[in-house]
Amino acid sequence: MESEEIKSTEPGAGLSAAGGSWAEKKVFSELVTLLHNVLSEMQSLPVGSIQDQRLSTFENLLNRLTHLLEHIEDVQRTRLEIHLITQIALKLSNVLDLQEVLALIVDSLKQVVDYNAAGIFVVSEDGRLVEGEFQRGYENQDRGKVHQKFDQGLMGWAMKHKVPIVVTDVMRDPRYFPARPQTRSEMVVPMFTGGKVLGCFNLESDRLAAFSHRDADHLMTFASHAAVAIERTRLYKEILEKQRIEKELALARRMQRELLPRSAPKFDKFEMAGVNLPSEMVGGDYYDFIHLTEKDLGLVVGDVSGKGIPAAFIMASLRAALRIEAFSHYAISTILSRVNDFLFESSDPERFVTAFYGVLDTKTGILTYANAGHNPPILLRNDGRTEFLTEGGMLLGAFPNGLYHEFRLQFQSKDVLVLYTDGASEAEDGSGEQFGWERIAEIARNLAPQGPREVIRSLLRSIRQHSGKAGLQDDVTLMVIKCL
Amino acid sequence: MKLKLHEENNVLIIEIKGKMMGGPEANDFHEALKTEIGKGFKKFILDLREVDWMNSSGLGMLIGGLTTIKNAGGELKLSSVTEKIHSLFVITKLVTIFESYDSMEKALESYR
Repeated sequence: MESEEIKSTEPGAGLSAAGGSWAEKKVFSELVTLLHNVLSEMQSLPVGSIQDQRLSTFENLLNRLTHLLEHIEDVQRTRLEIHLITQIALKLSNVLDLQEVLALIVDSLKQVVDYNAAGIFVVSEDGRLVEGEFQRGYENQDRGKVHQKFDQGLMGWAMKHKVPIVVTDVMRDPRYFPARPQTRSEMVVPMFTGGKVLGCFNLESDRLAAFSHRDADHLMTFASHAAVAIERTRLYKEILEKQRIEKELALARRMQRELLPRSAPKFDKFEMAGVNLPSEMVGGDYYDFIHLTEKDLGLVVGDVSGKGIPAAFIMASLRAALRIEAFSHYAISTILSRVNDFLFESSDPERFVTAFYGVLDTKTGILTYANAGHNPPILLRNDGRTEFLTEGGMLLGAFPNGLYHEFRLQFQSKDVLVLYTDGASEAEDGSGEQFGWERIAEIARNLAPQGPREVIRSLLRSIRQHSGKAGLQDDVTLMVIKCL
Repeated sequence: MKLKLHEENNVLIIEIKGKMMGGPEANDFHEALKTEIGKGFKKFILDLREVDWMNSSGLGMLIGGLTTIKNAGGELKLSSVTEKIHSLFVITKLVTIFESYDSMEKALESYR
């Protein structure tokens, strides 16, 4: 009804409204008052003293003028709004400071809809609270963030029902939750992001019935820009967080790389090689050649549970603890027991290490070892037998007072020992099939005549092929020892 | 990984389904344990019949669970461990730490 009538006045309104000013509005306003007075005077005259038809024509004229005036005001407010929104959009594209953008939004809004207090509130991550993101006109606005339960007050109602509300008299509204004693009327609109409620924008006035539904429309427009600003700041923070994690992972990767041997040692009777291929997530694989004496070489392959920085730190602790104990010349059983207790004391029981530690006498070819819960190294005997080095004791770091036993084996000429982590044996193809120790053994046996380096090269190629597009999900570590 | 809890003869049975790979799910598991311990449960059985795979973080979750329960003066037993998971327990020697039973009946029987 209303809009139709506005349309009918458009030819005339077009001229005045397009170039309309507040001065013009004032003129019209005075005119309307004048006409009002005339009308009421005429109505107070005895019936029949003026023709009814004339009166209704006059009434029509008055209505049209009133609508024209409203229309001019609307157009003017909209023009102002477009101008302000353009400025806000410009600010949004140039300024990253959320408070600065929200201040501009709240202050610009005041030129379109007058208020005494304004607040922009955002739903907390767990969805239970709304937190003040920006405020104007509240006494406590500078004392840190204002919190309120999500479903409390008019704000809670607007967010729960996802609709704007305009309350002409807050004292008569049971939903009202007083936050500012002077407030008489209030208006709240919800803010959305991707269809979800992000928070709300509320305006309060010291006057009764200060806000109309048209004001709510304007507030919605400004609120949508506030929502964009808030969402963009969140995304920006997420990107920063991601970059931080990337940096940390790079640090972990570097830490891991620097703690691994740069090259494999050489001996008259033995040839060896080792490799660590870190996965994207950075696991906690570790391998080492420890030169204990001229002829005795410590061999370690270990795998720390979990991934990322914590795993890298435990790997570093394992390396330090093991190296210190290894040089103390204790029996392997004692070394592992001490390393176990050290790791148990320095991390949660959930974090543990599986490790194989052995000492190879490169002169006699005797390997003394203990396997602490690690994937059993595969000994490929020259006569065709395959042995697994399983014995030793519990994985390290999960339980106190670990007990470890050491074992011995004698290398024969052309025997090959393959040590690996589960990143190699459990590398999965697209269908979830694991690479398996059988493949490791088969490839190692086939390539053994060409030496440890070739064995490792071929194993890595096959594991990569097996993993296919999925890529490596875990670090792959391999060590190959060949008795000449 | 999915958890399902129920009680039988004063024993709290936790059924685990899917892959045990740690992460946020491990927190759910620990929270559930703490809640049940808080209710006074001392006897626990983890039903691993439908656990397809477990990585080192999954093992860590089990070890953490065992530690929590033992520290509270309780007991944790495993039931229906698949062959694949059993081989993991053998490699890591955890087989010596976890009391494991072929079936739920036998696990429950052991508590009587």
